[in-house]
Amino acid sequence: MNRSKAPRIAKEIKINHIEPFIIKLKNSIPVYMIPTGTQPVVKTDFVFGAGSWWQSKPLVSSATNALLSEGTSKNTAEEIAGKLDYQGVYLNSTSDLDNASVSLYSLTKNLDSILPLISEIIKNPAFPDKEIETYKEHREQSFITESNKVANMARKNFARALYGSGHPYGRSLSVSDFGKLNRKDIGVFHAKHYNSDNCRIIVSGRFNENKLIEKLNEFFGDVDWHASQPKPVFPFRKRPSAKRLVLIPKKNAVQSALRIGCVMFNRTHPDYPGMMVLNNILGGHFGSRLMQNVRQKKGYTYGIGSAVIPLKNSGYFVIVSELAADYQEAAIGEIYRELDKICNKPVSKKELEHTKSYMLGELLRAFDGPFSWSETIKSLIEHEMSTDFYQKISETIQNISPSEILELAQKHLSVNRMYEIVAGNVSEYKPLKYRT
Amino acid sequence: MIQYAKATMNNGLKLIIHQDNSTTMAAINLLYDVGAKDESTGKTGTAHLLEHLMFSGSGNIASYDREVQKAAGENNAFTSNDITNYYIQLPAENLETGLWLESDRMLGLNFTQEAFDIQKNVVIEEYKQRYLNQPYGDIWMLLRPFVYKNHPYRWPAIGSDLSHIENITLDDIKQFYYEHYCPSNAILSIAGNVGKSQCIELVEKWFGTIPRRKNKKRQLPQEPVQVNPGKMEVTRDVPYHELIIAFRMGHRLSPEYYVVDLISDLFAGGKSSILYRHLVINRNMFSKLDAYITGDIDPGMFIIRGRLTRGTEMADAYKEVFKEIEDFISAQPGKYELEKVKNKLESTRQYMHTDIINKAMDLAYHELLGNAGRLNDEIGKYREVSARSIQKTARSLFQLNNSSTLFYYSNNKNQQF
Repeated sequence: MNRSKAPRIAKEIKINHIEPFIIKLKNSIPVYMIPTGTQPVVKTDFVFGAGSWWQSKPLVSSATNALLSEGTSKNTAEEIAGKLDYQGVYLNSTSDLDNASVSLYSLTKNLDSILPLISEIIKNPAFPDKEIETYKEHREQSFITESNKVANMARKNFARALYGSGHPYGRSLSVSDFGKLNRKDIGVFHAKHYNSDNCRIIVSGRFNENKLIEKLNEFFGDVDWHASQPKPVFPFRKRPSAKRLVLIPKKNAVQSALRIGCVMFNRTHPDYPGMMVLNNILGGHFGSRLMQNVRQKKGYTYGIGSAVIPLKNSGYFVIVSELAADYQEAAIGEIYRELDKICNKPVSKKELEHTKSYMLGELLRAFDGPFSWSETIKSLIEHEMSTDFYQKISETIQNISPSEILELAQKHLSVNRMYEIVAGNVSEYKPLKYRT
Repeated sequence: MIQYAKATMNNGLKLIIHQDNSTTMAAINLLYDVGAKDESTGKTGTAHLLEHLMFSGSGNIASYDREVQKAAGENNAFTSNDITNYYIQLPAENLETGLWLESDRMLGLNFTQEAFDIQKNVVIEEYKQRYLNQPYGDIWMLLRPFVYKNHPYRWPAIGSDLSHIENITLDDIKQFYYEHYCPSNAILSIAGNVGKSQCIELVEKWFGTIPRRKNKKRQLPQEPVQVNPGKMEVTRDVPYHELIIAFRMGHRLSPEYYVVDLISDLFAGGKSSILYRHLVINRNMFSKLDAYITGDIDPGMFIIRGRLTRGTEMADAYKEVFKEIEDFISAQPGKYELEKVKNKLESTRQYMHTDIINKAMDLAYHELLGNAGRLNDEIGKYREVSARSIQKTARSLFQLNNSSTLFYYSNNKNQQF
């Protein structure tokens, strides 16, 4: 047998039906249904446009979200935790810049009995003072510990450089914010944002669809939790930093954290699908240029990658790595060389073909199994994107040409658009000449 | 219940197949029965460095990554003290490509000096990124040699020291590879939209032709019985104190394993657990607190690890944890409490098994423990654990003489950042 000859690879990879079907509850909350999988489990997500974009004081959005399950009008925090644990239910509350959600993992057979409690948690949280105080103290400790990591120093300063510290995508917490958090702000934020007009539900796994809708209507379908006032509109202006290079010293750091990147756009931009392909070639996965060059050829780092991060009202491109202090200049030099290269030389047909294959595989994985499928759908509806967005991506992946990629690179990734943040051992750092 | 079929190749390679037609993908998991515990004392980190080199080209394939990419796959690997595990997920149509790639890495590697030097550097950077450049990053580096005196669990998989990694030579790696990476020392599992006969045929084709190799017999030194409580104090540049208490427990196949695992859940599995309620919420002595078992194949550890709240004295935190332990062993856990942790364990397993990679990995791991079918029996074993046996096991586990405590102090007097 000839081992150096690769087995035949499938020419066409079919992507499964990627559309969930949507049913509206009586109060018009849309429910995205994804009945799939082999295990008797259900994941239910309640998504609210209640991220930190909407808060008028620091911490309020994430605190509201985290404290939902810490006591309701009928149950104490301890009782809630006990009931969820007894049913083997995981309740994950998460919030980010744009959205906040409550995600529930349960066995199919336990879903009905746990929904009344989830309804209380979402609609009638009590936000007890004692729980707020404990939350504040523990969260502050974790904030202080995290702030000490070079990766977080770089991340924070990168966001500030791109958007400015007054912008919701650019601002960051400080220790003094913890003292200012109070129950009243949390209650007001909850009332404004956790209501049926601001809610979307995603259900994935194995379940009886009609029965489920009936139950969801019973506990979430009423009009009694409508918004009392229209959603506020916040006009924000970006105030990017004038300095393209930000160095943050940390004593005794054996590695420096790096961020190089610039502001882009959200997923509605016509260039977004193409940028996903471009990013994949540059640094989107293990076989990409940055990883192959800086790690696999040079050994300067344990990991490096790039990403196009979509936000609801913006988006950015970023290269992320942690670099040996001794090699940081050499490594950053390689990164700029890769940026230059992708802006000046069309990608070969072969490399593009490989990237396309990889990306199609990625698409398959994004829809494989109930939980990844629902995560994919969630990330779309959080930004009010249509759920057929990935059809578009898949078309772009199949059709984009080397010259279109080159054009995109020149338009969006030119070196003079980039901000560079280095946190760590920077006292001796000599930036490349066009970076000063 | 995870259905599976089993076969053994002539060269000793074991194969497990799980068919799941709800997916369009296939997952291949290749477990080698070799880990950091098989390294020699002065060369810790060898197994993990070899894992890195496994991605730098094999006898007939120049670039593993490129071929995976072409086949629309995604892959990774990890090395623990017990095993080295490789996995790849790709469209089911491309199953053969995955088998081709994995079989070629089993047949032989390129072992170029250049790739070796680069991966050594990468691992050194990994060591710095994960253990040196993170607050509290060195806790496991300290804890292992403190708890284990003889057994190779006394070093972490990445290596006990940067100098060890630096001193490993290409010949060391080659020797380690040929001693351990042979068909009879590996378990291959395939899960996904695949057929049994198709799998057997393809595995015969690509792996069946790999010659049998002799693998090195494992002879590990065992730990002496611990007779005194261990105490160790360090001070580090971190904002808050941490308290870490390790109790030595039985091996993975000992009957107490399931009992101890449930005790760790009763202690700190979720917000309704005993230690979390008492010490994090009610007493506010810790801002975070975990209890878990290391799950090692040889006798492992039950760990309690907590970060103290500002102003809490280390001595008080230590005293309170032991007071909780005393309270715990003074009575049997309630029926509801025990039922609760069992329910949670069962549902967690169901969540894990929505993913074909996890199914393939779990099947291979249980085959290593004796039989893939164990995977389906485990929930029953947890269900059988009685309140009485919890109390009995807790009493022997939580002896002071069986404990090793690491007092990890913040260098900041006020514990203020």
